[in-house]
Amino acid sequence: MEISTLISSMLRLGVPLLLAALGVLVSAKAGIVNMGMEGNMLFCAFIGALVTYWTDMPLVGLLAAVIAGLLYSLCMGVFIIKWRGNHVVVGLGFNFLMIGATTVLLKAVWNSSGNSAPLVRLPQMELPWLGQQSITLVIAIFAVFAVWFLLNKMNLGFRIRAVGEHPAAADSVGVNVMMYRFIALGIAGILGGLAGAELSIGQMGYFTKQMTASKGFLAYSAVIFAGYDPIYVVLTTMLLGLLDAFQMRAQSMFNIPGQLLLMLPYLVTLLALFGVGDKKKPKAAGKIYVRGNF
Amino acid sequence: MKNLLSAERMARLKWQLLDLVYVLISIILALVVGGIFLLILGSNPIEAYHIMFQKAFVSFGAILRRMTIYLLSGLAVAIPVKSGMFNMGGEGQIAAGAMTAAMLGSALALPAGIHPVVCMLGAILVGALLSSISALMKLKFGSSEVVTGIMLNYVVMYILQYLSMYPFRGSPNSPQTAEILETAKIPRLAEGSQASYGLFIALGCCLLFAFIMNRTRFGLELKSAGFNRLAASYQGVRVGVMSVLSMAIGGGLAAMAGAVEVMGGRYLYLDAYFTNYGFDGIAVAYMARNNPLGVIVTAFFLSTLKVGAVALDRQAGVSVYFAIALQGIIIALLVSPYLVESVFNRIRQKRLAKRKEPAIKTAST
Repeated sequence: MEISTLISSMLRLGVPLLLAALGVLVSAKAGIVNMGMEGNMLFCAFIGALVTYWTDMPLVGLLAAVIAGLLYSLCMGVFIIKWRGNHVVVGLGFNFLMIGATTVLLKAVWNSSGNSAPLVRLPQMELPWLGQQSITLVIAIFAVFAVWFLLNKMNLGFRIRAVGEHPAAADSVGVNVMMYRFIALGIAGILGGLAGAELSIGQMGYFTKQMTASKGFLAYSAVIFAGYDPIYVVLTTMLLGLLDAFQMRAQSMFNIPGQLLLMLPYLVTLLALFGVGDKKKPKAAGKIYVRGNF
Repeated sequence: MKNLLSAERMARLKWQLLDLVYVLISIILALVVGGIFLLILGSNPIEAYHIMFQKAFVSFGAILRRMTIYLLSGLAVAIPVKSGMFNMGGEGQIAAGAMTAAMLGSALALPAGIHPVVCMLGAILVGALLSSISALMKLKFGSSEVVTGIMLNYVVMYILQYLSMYPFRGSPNSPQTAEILETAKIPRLAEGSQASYGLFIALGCCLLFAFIMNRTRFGLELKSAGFNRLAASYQGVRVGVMSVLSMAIGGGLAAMAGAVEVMGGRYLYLDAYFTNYGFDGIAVAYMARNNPLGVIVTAFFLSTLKVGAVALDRQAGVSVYFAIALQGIIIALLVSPYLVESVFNRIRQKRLAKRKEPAIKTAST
């Protein structure tokens, strides 16, 4: 019983991380350092909440969040890929933009500086052993295999990887570097959209100011720990989810101040980064590719 | 020789001017996008901006107080960027510096002249240590200093929350420390003014670093590590040492920002009070193109924007976070050089085409 509730909350906390990490992974394979995943999730969490609030149909909200994520990432792509912006700083800029915009809109729509009104949640499943899970779990499992298949079995995936490893070589055999980077970033945006929607309309049933709490960066670290492998990403994100679940349970069980437990996922990520270097990073990650200039 | 030098200087000046124009265009573009956003929200953007900038100048002291923090937190980003590092941990460093100053300021009994100095040095040490962690992890393990910086921010935030709620709690009603002693306070500029003499400390830091970066060997080595690491290391610059040092300087400056606000403004550490200052520092530094003297101008601009945003919140009900959204757009535009370059190229091509057209015609006839 104890363990089953722990696993249940691990899955619930891990699924958004997993989806976001898969998004970061796909874009990283194309050579893009996706620091904007945080804003991606936040924006989509908000759009999902807003559309659900308007229509009372959470599935429509989910769809809207996915479209919002796609638009967000393509917009970021214009800055990064077309206008040759610094990946990290553009990503951070977009994060700030979304922190600002969602908070302003939160106040404008719900006249609150903290939470939105309660919303209808995504359909939930009652599973044996795993407790109550939203349908995003199914999507996440599907997404893991889809990303694995994309990167290891599909031409599109090979081209995305080529563009991330050696854009000049890819370009010389006629692979359109810009296009494949845009495609990879678009996929990342869709996955980030699912992750964001899961946070607001999947689990909480409302939107909170800055509700992502740097989950985008945790997802980015999870990808580094996993050595840029979609199957290992499942392990690392679930580990972070388990940590978060444990932290929540420990707060009620032991007499430890909450703050010292709340920082656990961040502290463990930091400590893990001590041991694991970013060795398997795609060669051209974060580099700006200009044809004829490499 | 003299002519050549002046031509070179003119070219550089022209380039700098173009850069300045680009920064201004980015800011204006962001304000326009923000205006459209306001329009969607249903408020008149011109009126809103009018409120923002008019009300901001009513409370000039508040602008100067905020500017003091921004000067230092902007430098805290600008100096590491010169050596190719990104100080993302400013948030945590500012809060940690503030806490250190508050603790030293209330616990120690020292004469008036020495007390603020001790508080400041303690804060600088803590901030420098924090940022060095990120820098060392980048050098040793290659982990991104942005990610480690953010993780550190959260760790520091929760530790400080714990400290201000339990061991060092100075008030039964809110999570804050005790007020610092009179001897540790930095005097205000005038009776009842919000700004303190900390402003001059911060301005002094800007001038000092402008000198260090442009006129000393250390500054040159630091910058060369940022330009081309390989070339710099062949020249005998210890690139790794420079990266860590620049981050340590950045961390120290950020912590100073927190300490100055504690000693000259708030007089205590209040949980969740020192948020977003580190992120604002990023905008300040990038708007100034990481130039220590430029930071003075952009810190003033951003602090006006922020104070104005508070007024806008009160008057029109648009959240204070509006300013953060604007900052995000400005930063993203500023680091995407090809946006304007491509426009310039198109104009130049058109001009060239115009100039060449008659020549081609005569050649063909």
